[in-house]
Amino acid sequence: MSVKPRHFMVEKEDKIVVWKFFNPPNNIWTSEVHLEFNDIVEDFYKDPDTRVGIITSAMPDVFILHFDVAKLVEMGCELNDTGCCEELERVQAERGVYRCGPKITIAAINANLSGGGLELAMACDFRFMAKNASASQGEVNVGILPGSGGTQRMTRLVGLPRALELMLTGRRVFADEAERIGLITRACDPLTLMTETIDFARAMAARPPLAITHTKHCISLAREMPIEQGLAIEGELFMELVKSAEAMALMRAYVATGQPSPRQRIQMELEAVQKQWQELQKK
Amino acid sequence: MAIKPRFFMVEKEGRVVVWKFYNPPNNIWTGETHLEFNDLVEELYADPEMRVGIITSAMPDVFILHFDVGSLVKSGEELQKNTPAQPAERPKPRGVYRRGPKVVIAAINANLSGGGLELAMACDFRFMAKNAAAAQGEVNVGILPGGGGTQRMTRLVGLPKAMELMLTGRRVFADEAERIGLITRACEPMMLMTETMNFAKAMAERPPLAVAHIKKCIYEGCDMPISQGLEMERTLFQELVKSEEAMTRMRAYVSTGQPSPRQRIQLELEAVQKQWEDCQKKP
Repeated sequence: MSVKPRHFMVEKEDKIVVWKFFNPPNNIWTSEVHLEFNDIVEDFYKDPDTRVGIITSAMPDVFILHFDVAKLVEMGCELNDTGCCEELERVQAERGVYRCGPKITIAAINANLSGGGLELAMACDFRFMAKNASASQGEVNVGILPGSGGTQRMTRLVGLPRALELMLTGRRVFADEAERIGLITRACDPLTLMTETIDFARAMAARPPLAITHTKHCISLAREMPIEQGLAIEGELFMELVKSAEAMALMRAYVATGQPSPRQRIQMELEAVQKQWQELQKK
Repeated sequence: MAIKPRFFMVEKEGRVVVWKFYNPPNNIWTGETHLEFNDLVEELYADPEMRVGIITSAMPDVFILHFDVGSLVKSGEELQKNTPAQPAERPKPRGVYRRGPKVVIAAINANLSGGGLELAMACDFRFMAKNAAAAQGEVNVGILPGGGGTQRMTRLVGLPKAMELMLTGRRVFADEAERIGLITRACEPMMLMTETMNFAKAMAERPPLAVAHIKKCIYEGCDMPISQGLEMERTLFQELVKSEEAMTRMRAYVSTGQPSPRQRIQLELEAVQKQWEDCQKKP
């Protein structure tokens, strides 16, 4: 995207890019924002210098409120009048974070979110959420359904019975419960949310990119086909990785360290923790 | 159903219908009760006035014991004597087993096993008294759960738990059942019907078409590749967004002036405060 994004503050740090959503007063997600964000994510997938993308909000009391309901009413009218609505088709297309892309995306949920905001977060690979934030999928209350992949993605994240309950009642879920049922990756203390997310993102960015892409692809297929087919694809991609230059170099280096015994390995890990602790003390 | 049901006491309250199963002495589920219950549920699906069905037992110490084993022995003997040249065509699922457009809840007031648990698992939600226990013990008499148990339990609790419960046939009390996702909520025995009824009333107020479509997306979507699931969701979303009911509700939502997230929390707090005060007033 050559144009500067209007609704996102973009910050880059090493191989990580952070998108801070800002659409006052309520951080509502509009079609314009949706298309802009899809462009941003597609650009990020192409950029060889960045590995991990984090979406968060620049507003302290809301992450993403939901999709623009007034716009939905207009779209409904257009559908009734003309039988099709081009804008809606464009918004519902599988692009950006909504398709399973090659790189990692993380939602750092700093405040409440509902409807389309939660659907966006569920389309990311990981969700870190502040403990004082809550999420709800309340479309049923206005007579519609979660139309950006919510019915499909939530069911795959939390399982059938809980998905049914959350989407038919539309009730709020706080971060602790969300973590317990698998809706989010981790519930964080509000003050350390960004630190924990960035730490995790750094660890992800340090990993070999092709291995990440292929692992993501295999896992995303796990529930979509009979296991024989899944295993066949896994086997193919494994062969591809094992002969790649990067994997060869890493595996050679691993072998050359003389393959520490399990006991030595624990010793090394302990030393690493010890070192971290000492550095922390110096600060 | 023109005829009065023989095994169920039917009570209606608002848009909620309660079926109390009564087949003394042991509340055994027979071929006859099965057909009768399917008719009752189909009647609910067809009745425009009713929204939610609750199945419970009229007996204090058993919900549904299991399917009539005596009749299974007879069918076994028959199958041995004259093996049909072609296997009989399976009848299409009916009633609660076909997952229709309305919400059906099991209010499990006492122990259940075998076909009783399979019936409960075919419902959309399960509320269970804390002193009740469930078991899927078909393996002990050399058969398998043939009322959809192997398929539905696996989708509810996941593969490893389903293996354990169906291969051991052990009992699970309500607390564990809630933890593993087998039931929606474990209730105090005294509060079971109140809690179920409250939940049912909340469900009955939600827009019926949205409820039907969300159910469909979740149930059918979890059994197809996500790309197909998303396609179905998109189509049904467009159908809902242009419907009269959704348009009215969305317009109402927009015209409330869309409270800011902070105002919204304030409103919720006030509602809780009011509830509390109402509670205090009661003798």
